[in-house]
Amino acid sequence: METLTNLAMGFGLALTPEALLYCLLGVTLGTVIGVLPGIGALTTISLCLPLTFHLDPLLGLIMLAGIFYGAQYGSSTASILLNVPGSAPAAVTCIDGYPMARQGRAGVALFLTTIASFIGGSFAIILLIMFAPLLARFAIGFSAADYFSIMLLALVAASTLSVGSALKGLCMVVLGLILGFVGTDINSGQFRFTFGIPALADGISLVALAMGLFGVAEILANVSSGEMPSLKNTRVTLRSMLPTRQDMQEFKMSCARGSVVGSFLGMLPGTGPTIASFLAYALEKKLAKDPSRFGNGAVEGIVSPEAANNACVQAAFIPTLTLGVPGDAIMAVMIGGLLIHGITPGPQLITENAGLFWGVVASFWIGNVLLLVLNLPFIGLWVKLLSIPYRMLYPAILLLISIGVYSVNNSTVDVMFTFGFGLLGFAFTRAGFPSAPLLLGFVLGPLVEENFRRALLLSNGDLTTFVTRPVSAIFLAATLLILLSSVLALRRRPAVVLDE
Amino acid sequence: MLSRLQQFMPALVLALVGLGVVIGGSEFELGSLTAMGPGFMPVLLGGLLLLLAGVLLLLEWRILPTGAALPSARPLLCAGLSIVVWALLAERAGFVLASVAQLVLAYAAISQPDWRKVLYSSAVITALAFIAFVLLLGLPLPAVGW
Repeated sequence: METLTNLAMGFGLALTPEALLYCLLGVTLGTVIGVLPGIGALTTISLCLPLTFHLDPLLGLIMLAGIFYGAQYGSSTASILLNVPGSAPAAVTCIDGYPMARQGRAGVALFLTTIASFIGGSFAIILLIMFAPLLARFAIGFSAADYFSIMLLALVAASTLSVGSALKGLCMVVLGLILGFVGTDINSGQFRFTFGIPALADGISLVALAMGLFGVAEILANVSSGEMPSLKNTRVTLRSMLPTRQDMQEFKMSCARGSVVGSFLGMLPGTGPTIASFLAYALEKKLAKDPSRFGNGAVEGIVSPEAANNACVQAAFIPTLTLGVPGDAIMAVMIGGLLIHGITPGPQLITENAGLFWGVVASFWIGNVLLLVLNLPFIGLWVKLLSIPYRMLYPAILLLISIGVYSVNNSTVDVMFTFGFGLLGFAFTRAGFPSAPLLLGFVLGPLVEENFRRALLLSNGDLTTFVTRPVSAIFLAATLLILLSSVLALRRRPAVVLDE
Repeated sequence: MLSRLQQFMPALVLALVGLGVVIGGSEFELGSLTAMGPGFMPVLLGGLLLLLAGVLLLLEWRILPTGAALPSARPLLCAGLSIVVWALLAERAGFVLASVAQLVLAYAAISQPDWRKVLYSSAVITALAFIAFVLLLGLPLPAVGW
C-alpha cells in the first residue's frame, strides 16, 4: 500500500509538463545517439551532465536516465540495417538482425526489438519498484566495512567480467582509483598530485575524463580506422513491420527469458547491458531445438538480447540508487551528477529524497511508453538519420565535447585534459585495456578510500573487521571467487603465438 | 624490436605510473591503519598498480608481438589537436573563430575533404552552436575576441 502511495506521488511528479519535457528530450536524444553508430550513451550523458547542474536534480536525472535507456532502444536500428552496432550491447543483435534485413524482414526485426525492449524495460521497472525499497531498508544497517567490500566487488567484477583480459581490466580500475586521488585530500587538506596546477585542486573533472576516454577516444578510433558507415536507399514502412504468427510464437518465451536474464544481471554490481545481451543470446542458442537457425535471422536471436539489455539498464538503478554503488561507468557518471547536487545515493535516498526516487522510477515507465511511440510510428525518421555520413558528424561532436567540458568549470585546462584522456583512452583501448573500469574506479575511488579509512578507524586498525561482519564477509568472498576464477581462466588459456 | 616496444608500452607506462605514485605518495605522511595519512592509500594503490603491471609485463613476454600497424598520424593529429586549438582560442579569439578553426581542422582528418562543403558546414555548425550555447544557455565566451 505504501509502495502504491509512493508510486502515485512519483507519477504526480513525473507527469508535470516540465518533467515530461525532459523525459521526452532524454529519450529522443538517447534514440538519436543510439541509432547513430560512433556516439555512445556515455559520451552523450557526460555532454549533458553540465546542463543538469542548473536543473532540479529530479529533472536532470530523468533526462540522463532517458538518454541511457533510450540509447538501448535506438542501438538495434543500426545493428539490423547496417550490421554496425549503435552501441556495444547491440553488437549481438547484428548476428541475426542483419540477416533478417537481408531477407527483406528489417521492418519485422525493428518492430520485434522495440516491443522486446519495452517488455524487458517494464519488467525490470516492476522489480525496481518491488525490491529497491526492501534493499534500502536492509542496507540502512550497513557499516563502512560492508560498503567497502560491496564497492570492492563492483570494481573487481567490472574489471574482470568485461570483455578482454581480466588483468588489464584490474590495471585500469587501479589507475582510475589513483586518478581519484588527484586534488585536495578531504582529511588533511593537502594537495595530492596536483603538480602545481590550480585547476586540479578540486580534482580531475569527471566530465573531462568521461568525454576524453569515451567520446574523443571513440572518434579517434573511428577516424583512424577510416570506418565511417552510412546507409543508402533503405525504407522501412509500418506495413513491413507486421510480424507473422510464427514470429510472435518465437517472440513470447525468448522475450520473457531475456527480461529475466537482463534484470538479474542488472542488479549485480559490475555487470552491464553488454554482458546481459551476450548471455541472453547464448542462452537462447543453447535452448533452441535447431541452433543452426542462429546467425541466419532467428527471431529469438534479436528478441532475447534486446529484452535483456533494456531490463539490465533499468535494473542497474537498483544498486545505484539504493546502495550508491554503480554497476558500470554510465551509472558512475549518474552518481557523479547526483553528488554534484549534494545528493548521496544510498539507503537513505528513498526516505530522505522520496520525491526524487519515486519520480525517477515513474519517469522510467513514462519514458518507455514514449520510446514505444517514438520507435514505431517514427521509425522511418530514425532510418533516414542513418544516412547522415559519419564524416560530417564527428567534427560537430568534437565541438560539442569541447563546449560541454568547458561549460562545467569555464576552464580551458579541462578541455586540454579531455584531449589527453582521449589519447590515453585511444591508446589503451587499442592495446586491449578497457576504459570503463577506469571511470568506475575514478568515481568510486574517494568513496572506497573514505569507507576503508572509516572502517579501520572504528575497528582500531583491526583488519579482521572486513571478515567478521557477515555482509562484508559475503561480498569479500564473492570478490575472491571472481578473482580466483579469473586467475584459473588465465592459467587454462595457452600462450597465444601470433604471426609477426 | 619496434613491435615488442609497442606491445610492452601500455604495461610499461602503467608500471611507471605506479612507481611514480608510490614515490609521490611517500612524500606525504603515511600514518597508521587507525589514522591514515594522505599518503597511505596512494602508496598502497601505486604499489598494487606496479605489481599488476609487472605481472602483465611478464605475461606479455610469452606472447610474440603481433606487429600491428601504427595508426596513421593525420586523422589522430587533426581530430585530436582540434580540441587543443579550441581550448587555446576560445577565451582569446572568441567562440566563433575557435569553433570554426576546430571544425576545419577536424574535417581535415579525413583524406581529400571537399573544402567548400567543409567551410559551409563549419559556418552552419558554429552559428547553431553559438545560438544554442552562448545566446540561449549563457556560456561566458565572447563571440569575437582580441
